[in-house]
Amino acid sequence: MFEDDPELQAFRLRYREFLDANAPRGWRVNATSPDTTLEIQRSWLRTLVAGGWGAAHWPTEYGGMGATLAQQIVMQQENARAGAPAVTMFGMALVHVAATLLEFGTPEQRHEHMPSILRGDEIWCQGFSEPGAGSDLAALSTRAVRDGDNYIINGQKIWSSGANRADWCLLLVRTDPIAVKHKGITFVLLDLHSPGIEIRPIKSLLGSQEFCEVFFTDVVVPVSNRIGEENEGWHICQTTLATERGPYLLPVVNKLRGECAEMGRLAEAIGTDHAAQVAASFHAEVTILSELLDRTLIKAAFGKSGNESSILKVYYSELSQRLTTAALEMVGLDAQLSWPEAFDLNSDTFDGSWGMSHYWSWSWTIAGGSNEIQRNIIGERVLGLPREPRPEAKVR
Amino acid sequence: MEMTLSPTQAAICEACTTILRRAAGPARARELRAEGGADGRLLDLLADAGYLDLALNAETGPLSAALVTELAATHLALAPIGVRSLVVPAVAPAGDLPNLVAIVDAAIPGPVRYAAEAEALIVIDGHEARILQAAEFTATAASTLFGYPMATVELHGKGVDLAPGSGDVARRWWRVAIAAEIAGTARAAFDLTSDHLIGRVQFGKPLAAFQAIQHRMMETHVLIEGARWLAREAAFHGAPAERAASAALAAAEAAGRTLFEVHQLSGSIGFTNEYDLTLSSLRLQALRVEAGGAAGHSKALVTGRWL
Repeated sequence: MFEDDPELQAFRLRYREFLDANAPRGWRVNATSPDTTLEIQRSWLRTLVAGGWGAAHWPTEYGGMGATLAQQIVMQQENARAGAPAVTMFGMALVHVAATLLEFGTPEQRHEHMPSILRGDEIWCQGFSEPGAGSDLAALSTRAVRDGDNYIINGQKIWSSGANRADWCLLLVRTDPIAVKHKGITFVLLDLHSPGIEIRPIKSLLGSQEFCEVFFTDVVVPVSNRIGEENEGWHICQTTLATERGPYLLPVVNKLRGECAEMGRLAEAIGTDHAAQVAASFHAEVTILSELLDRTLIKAAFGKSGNESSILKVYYSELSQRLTTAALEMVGLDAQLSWPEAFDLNSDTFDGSWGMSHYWSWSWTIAGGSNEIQRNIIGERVLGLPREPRPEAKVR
Repeated sequence: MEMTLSPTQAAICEACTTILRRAAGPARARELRAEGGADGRLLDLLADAGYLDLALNAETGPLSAALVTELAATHLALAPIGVRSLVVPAVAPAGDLPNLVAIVDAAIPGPVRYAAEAEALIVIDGHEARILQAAEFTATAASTLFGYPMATVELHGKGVDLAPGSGDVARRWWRVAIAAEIAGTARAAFDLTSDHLIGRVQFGKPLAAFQAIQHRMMETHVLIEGARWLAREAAFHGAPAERAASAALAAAEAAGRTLFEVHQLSGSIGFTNEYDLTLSSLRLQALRVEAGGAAGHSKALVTGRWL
């Protein structure tokens, strides 16, 4: 959909030149643990920022590039081409936190966090889900009680990706236990180094520690760390979550495109009509996905994004599962023997392991609002179908 | 074929369940996952009680052997019970083989289940098959997520040739064994998921109360049941090529759908090692591509049925 005009072409070449001169090579060999991967990403983020190529989508006022959508897409393409490390461990900070602060944060909050994020000094995680509040997020019960200029927080979060390495947390707490459940929620920024916080990593089926349980006992959060008004958190977190269904998908869609190309080579090697047909039909679907992404991003750029990003999330995540499943079938059991050396599950280029790509794809239909929830959103808010009767409105 | 179990079959299932409850199950599967290797102890228990030799007994026959294979899989048994009780009796009926036997098709690359632990290896080579003793092959353990011990195999002995045509016979019974194992394993994953959906309350009611979820559970259930009955039927009829392949194909497809549904419907907890789901679900990943997977079974089905 995006054809390079001369200006965009010049932009592409400038960035390509920067990448050729600066992008680390052979970094995967050293990315053998989350800690080493983090340092590789941190250093690359700093190089990008120093070169004027950091935070493409941020406004220049906060040190970003204020890049157009087309420019951002070009940069993603060039990143993939150069095999540059993706700064995934800073993704929550660069994308979710920035989107939330830019729309709802105070100038003080923006100035406190956005420069440190650009320096690679702040890693963020999300504290939304709870044991009793997954798909039904609004049922969350982690309590925040006002005490002068502070909130005192008690409760528990779960599935917080990367909380064990994070410095800050986007946290949803219940401030009004009596109101209709989504009306008593407040959004705060939590310093994870505060006293009273215990973090327990959970081992995933891949053996890695991707997500954590986080326990709060009388944790003090200054009221100045609140985003928006008290009890307005539900509305704000929709913005945070929607970013996960929009531009955030650019790199992963790129990765899927790479996987599809790899599948084409696989089909060619197998040499049967059936393999060719499977690869070709995935090619068509990945093309549809790319068009869908472009369209959603263009709408978003004109402030009309909203709920259609749910279509994108469902389509991407399920296509990714189907494509990697088909690849596992093409390769046979061998596909699940070779694991990449790099320890970056969110990597935006195909790393040679269909097994890793496949198992990781399982989390995409669940995380950030399960596909069941996305389907409800699409049904009710995109198609305008009547809502399913809600059995209750109060939080216990 | 009767669709209800005979009194003998019911008694076998009941007695086997008692053994499996005691000696297999999630806790034992976790133990073995940590230690590595196959459950030789369970295999011995079943062998001592005579449950690995049901296929050759005129009163019980291969259907009973398939029932035991399925049941063992439901209880997460980690031993090549299907190969020992369905394939071995068909190709090496003399009964001089050890209990721990693995099977490989020389034409299919990739790692082999239980090869590192096996005391003997059945090698299918085209229409023929032969048996290699442990000293005649090298098995190098491979690291996978499946929850089965897997190993890449290198053959260096010639082994003993089995009767002419044994390759085809072994392949057919292997398919029945895989189908029975998938039916049992998928059932375990399904039941755990079903418990989760009934117990987990969101939006003020159990997740299982949502129709969107009920429909998917129902469809998955039907697929698993279909695989189970095709496996039983193929065993009952003596594993003719067409029935064996059709059971394995239906099972491989049921495994794929079950895997997707149980993980999606279990949510994040299904993605953790702390929860029992992966003990069954990840095994489906290995079973659904074994012996050529859906593509191989389809080819065998078409050949057996029409060519």
